[in-house]
Amino acid sequence: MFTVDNCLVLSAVLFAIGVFGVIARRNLLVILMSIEVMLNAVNLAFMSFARQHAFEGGNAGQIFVLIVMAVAAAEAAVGLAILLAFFRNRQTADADEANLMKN
Amino acid sequence: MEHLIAEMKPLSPVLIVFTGALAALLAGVFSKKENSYALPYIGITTVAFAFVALLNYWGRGMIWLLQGAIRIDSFGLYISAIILIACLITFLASIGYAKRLGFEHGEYISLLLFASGGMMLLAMSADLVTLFLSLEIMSISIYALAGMARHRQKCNEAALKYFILGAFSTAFLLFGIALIYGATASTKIHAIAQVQGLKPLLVAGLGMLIVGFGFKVGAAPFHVWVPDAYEGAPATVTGFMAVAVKAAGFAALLRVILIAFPGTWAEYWWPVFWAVALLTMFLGNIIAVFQKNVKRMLAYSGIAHTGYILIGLVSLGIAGSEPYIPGMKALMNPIAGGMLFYLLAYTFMTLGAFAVISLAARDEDDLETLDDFSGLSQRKPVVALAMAVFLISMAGVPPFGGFIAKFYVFKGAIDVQGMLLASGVKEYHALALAILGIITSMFSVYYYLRVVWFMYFREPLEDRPSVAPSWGLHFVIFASSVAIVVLGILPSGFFSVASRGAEALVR
Amino acid sequence: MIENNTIFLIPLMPLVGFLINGLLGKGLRRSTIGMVACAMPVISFAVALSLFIKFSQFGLECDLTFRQIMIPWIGVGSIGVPFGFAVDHLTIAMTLMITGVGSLIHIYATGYMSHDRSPERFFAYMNLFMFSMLVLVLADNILLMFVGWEGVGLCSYLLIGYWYEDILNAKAGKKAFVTNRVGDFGFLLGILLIFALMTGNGTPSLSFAKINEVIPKFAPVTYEVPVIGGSIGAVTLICLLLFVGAAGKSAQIPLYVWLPDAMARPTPVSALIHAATMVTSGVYMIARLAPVFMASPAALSVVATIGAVTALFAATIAVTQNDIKKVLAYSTISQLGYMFLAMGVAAFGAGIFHLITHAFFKACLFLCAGSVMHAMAGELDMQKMGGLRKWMPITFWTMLVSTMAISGWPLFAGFFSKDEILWKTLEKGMTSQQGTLFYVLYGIGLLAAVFTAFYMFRLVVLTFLGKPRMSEETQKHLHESPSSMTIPLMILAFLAAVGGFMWLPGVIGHGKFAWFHDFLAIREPAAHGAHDMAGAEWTSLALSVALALGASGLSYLVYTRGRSAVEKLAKTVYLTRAMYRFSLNKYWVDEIYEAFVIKPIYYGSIALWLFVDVVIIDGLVNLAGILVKWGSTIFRNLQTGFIGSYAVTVLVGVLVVLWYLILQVLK
Repeated sequence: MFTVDNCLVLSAVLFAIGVFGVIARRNLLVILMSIEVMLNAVNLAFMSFARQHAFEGGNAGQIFVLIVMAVAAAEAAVGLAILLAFFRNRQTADADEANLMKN
Repeated sequence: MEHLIAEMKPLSPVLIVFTGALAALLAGVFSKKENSYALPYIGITTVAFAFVALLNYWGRGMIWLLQGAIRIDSFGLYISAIILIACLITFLASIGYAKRLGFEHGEYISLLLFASGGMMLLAMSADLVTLFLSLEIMSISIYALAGMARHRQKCNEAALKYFILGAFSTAFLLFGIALIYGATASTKIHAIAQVQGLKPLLVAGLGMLIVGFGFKVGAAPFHVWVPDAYEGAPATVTGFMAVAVKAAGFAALLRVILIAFPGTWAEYWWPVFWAVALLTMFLGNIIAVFQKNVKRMLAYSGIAHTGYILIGLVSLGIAGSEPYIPGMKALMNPIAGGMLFYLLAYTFMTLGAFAVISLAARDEDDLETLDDFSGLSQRKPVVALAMAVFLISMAGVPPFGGFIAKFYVFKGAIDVQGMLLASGVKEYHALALAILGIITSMFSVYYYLRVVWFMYFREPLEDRPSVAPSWGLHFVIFASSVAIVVLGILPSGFFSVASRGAEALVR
Repeated sequence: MIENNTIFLIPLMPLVGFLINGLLGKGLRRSTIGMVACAMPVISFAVALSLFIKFSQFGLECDLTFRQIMIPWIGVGSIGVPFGFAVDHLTIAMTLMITGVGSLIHIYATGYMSHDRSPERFFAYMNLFMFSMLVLVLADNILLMFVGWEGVGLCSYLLIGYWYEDILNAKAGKKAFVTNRVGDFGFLLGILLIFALMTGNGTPSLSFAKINEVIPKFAPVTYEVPVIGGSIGAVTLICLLLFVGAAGKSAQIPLYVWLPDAMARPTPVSALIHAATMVTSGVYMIARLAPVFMASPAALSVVATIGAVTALFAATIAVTQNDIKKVLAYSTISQLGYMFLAMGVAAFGAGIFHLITHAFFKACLFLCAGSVMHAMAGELDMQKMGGLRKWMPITFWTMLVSTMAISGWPLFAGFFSKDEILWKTLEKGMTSQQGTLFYVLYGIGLLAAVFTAFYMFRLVVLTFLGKPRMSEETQKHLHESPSSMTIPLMILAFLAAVGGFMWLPGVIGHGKFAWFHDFLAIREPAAHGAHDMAGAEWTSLALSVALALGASGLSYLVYTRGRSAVEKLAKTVYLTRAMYRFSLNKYWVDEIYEAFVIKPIYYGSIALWLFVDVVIIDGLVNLAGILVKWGSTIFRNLQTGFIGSYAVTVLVGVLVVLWYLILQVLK
């Protein structure tokens, strides 16, 4: 069951779910979580590929996953701070309320 | 350990910037509130040191560091220089401005320096791991900078939009990197080019990379964040975003595309860029026409400029995909040099224009609507004159740098076309793009000159008390306009430097 | 080629002066403004002098060029044009003249403009003019020369319209500008043709050295002329186009009309720009490109003919004018005609010699006229002067000296230079195959010399001698000008008197006292059998002297004793009356231009404006505007401001890019 191909399919499905979440949901927190899902989907893809290339030397895939995790954490921190500032000013976490600037 | 230090020495420009960033952060935490005026000077000093360190490595050939993760070459140094200039100008313009908007903190200086360091690293990355990491150092700092004036609603909103869309596109970029890694078992940019044969995974990865970098440089249809983020962010940050992020984005784009996908690979990517460039020029220019807010108008015009620079990339692609035509290879370096020259000219005119905008019209807001600009020539003649220089240069009118930059880019496309026709290839993509570029840039004259018209032929409105700009702002406006004029009158020397910069990518 | 890194100082100093007076002038005191403005050309002169000394160290006959490349300037395609200066014998002679005479005129101007409202503006323009002129002269390549060329045109425009409150001055400025545009268009076409030939030949350079080397080789190349038929040589075409430019700048037929009107400006400007320097730049340009012109005898003949005809034509007009500055303006046109005649007979050295001596005496004449105007509160009409000698002795004597110089009295500067030109023309007639043309030109030149002596003495007599004809009120205020004005006058008059000794004619000095000739000798083609013609040269000399003295004497007699007789002659006898009216009305050239050139262009422009502009171009522009507005509205609405819709846009982009790429791979 745990073949590389299956893992890749799972990764693609997860990524699509994340994309759908960003596009369709209005709650900013959910959007943030969807983005995390996308990043984790990519992590899964990296791990799968790393396993596939295990005998060609190098462990770039694994390293990449660690780095992505660190970056995702930093990104989430800044993102939450921005969200918080927004919430304080507007008393809402609805993405569609962020519509002062357009055209 | 000593070995490591010796090896890291060529990286000193970046390390100095990061050290300065940490110093500014600490100084911000431990200094008293009334001493905060001194913070920008930490930044200025850091940039000056970094610049000296950087000049030290100019013309020394390429240096590989950290097992090939970083390559310090003329291209990376050229882009780093642009970024440092942009950073310096932003610091100078922030003197006074940051205080007025209430973010005169250590974080502001520190974040600008972190972003600059990330960008410089991005321009020097030779490995997709470093590339991604430095891209994120840059992006996360910029997200925070965009929301710096956190009590202003527009500023919040700009940061929010930029952050969500930025993270969204980063995910695509990352997915692209994963696919490329899957196809080639390597993350080294130079190793990817060695892969023989064509793999669908690799091509899909290429597409994802195009999307990710296209987002950073603001190319249509990935430009959607640009107008809102530029309008909402504080003017100095907007200028920095417009210039430095674009320069760094182009640096990464050019390095990955030209080194990892060279030669006949170009047949895949140039049509994509052709369509993107066309769409970018059209959307940017057409939507800019009826903007009442000058800051937002400049955002759209920034999109349009991305389109013009992309013309160079398309020309490179077309030239690269026909390697058997004699003389075609010789055209490539001047074209890439033209793109780099464009980035330099764009740096001065954009930063200058945003510096003018950061002059207060009313106490807190920027000088942004057309009404704010009316009669500016009577209230502040020198500033109005400088603004006119920036705008006319952006419109591509001689004798300013913007004209020469456009000239080089369009000339590159037409040269490639001429070479194609001379060898009997009857395809007109390059020529079509150049002509459409010229047509769209004619639209742009309208909206640039409209601002000039407001400044010179309208009476000033009464209720616009003006704050005296700081010396830094004055200096920036003056120096940028002088630079634009010099670039326009004596372009040769700068162009040869830009061509040297391009040598690291295409010879 | 010898590298020299002080050349740039020569044009730089006036530029510095311009910047100081132009940017800070409002806050400076009058004396400081004048001091700055005068110091700069003087420093330039000193630098030029030091260069000149270097030349003389190498010996006069040494073919030598100092060169300084400042920076690469324009690099497009294969061609690279540097921002550089080159100094050879011709250039240093011109530079010394420009900075020397220019300095004197600047000093004079401090006195002349002492009552003006905004001297900083005046002196800033004057210094800017000096800068442009020096760039023109020192330029190492033709493109940089063009920059200077346009720069002097601009300064001329600014200074003609200096007293812009008067609409007439503004109009004169416009006229000069537009007329010069016609000439500059020809010049620019010439440059482009040179550029095309140079790049076609594989020597992509626009430096004078290279042009003079390469372009003459194209002499056999001809172009078919469309419509008319026939063919024209490539070099001839270049020379004619360049000559159109020279004719515009140096006021030759048919483009001379702007110069007389341009006299509205302050007199130092007339002296500097419209007598000594700018108007001679056309002559300089031809001398600079001498090898190119030598390659086209046809073009040279055109130059010589136009020059000689202009010399006579302008001189006949000058005879009847009553405005003191108009007389001098036509006299300048006439003298420029002589210089072009010299160019046309390939006597480049003689032409430059006359250019220099002319700068001395004509600058002096204009400054004297200015001195008179200064005393007469701006009065220009000679009918209202007379007897001024009593009040203004220095002005009178200096003016007399320069008048004798321009009239060609023996031993004065003009005598040697003008005679050299006439003799070279005659010599050309005797040696060349189309001799008749040059004999005729020689005759025209002699006749023009007669007129010159006549109208110049008329001017002196009417102004300074006889009974005072001005009002009592004016007489009370008459005074000699201050020393800041008279000292330059005396220096210039001295030069006008002795300047000719730089180059004595061959028959007198036997080649010994002719260092200026030696200095420029390299530009002269070797004369054939000069020894046989000593007799002819003596004859020519004697003839000139006799005619000059005779005409001067006649003029003196007529205007001191026989004015009534002349007036009667001008009003009654049919032939003389007709001639008088022709001359007085300047042959109605302005009116003819108005009727046959300006009016048709004007009405044609109105027709084009109403049809092409309003209907077609405005229509297209408005249509484009409507389309853009329409597109803008649509696309603006796509920018909804919602994060979700932005994300969808990005996603659509991703999908389209991936779809295209995958299709390509699968194909």
